[in-house]
Amino acid sequence: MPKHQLDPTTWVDAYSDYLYNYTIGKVNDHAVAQDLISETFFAGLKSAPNFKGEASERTWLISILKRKIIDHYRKKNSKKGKAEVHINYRDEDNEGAWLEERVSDPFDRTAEDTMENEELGEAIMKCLDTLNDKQAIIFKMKTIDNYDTEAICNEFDITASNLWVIIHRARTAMSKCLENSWL
Amino acid sequence: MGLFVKCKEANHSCDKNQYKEASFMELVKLNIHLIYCRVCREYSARNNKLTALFKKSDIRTVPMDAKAAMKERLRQEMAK
Repeated sequence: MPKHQLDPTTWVDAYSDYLYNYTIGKVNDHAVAQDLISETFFAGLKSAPNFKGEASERTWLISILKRKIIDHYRKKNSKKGKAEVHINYRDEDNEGAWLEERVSDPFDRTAEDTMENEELGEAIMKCLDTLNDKQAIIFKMKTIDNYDTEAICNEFDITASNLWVIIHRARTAMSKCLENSWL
Repeated sequence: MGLFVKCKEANHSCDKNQYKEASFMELVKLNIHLIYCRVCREYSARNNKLTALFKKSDIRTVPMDAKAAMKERLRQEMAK
């Protein structure tokens, strides 16, 4: 009896946000990220019989996703040279302006910032996993997607005070989970 | 009750304030409460930090319609 089992019907709800944030960090394009995740679920479904149950579902899906991301870059690179970018330096009007274009932007986010944010994003997603499903969905809608209190209440058929209790518990759990490394 | 509220209510206002949904009076009461309540001060500080972290992390969720589309495609594939 394998330790872990696959249940593809729950994949989208359970893992798509996690995989999405993982992918965004690597490909930097929302449409591409969504496609890659969709493909990952498909590939997962196809190779489900090969799943040995040694890793958790999420780890397994991530490993598929990693292959997909690599494939994505392979494909992209094989198209190199076909689409050449011509930069016209000899434009009469802005002679020498290209120099300014190449000065580094001090307000640009540095690589270090980006890396730290990626780590933070991953930590948050992991902590979100520890909440129960309903808490996680509502908390995400409220905090990340900025839905109105009323809209969420209607969607889940709960009262505003119910909602705030859920939010309060979720926030307490989240700060406890993030406490050690981030708060 | 006037301007003095219990911890529970203060924390509730603090939660609301994380989403900019606390009224002015609620904020006044919260801040008065925070003057003399150390526990809630700590809670508020952590709560504010959590909000800041979320802002900073720039995490997103997959849009609802995209999720629905994925589910639908996955369901079709499974039915085969």
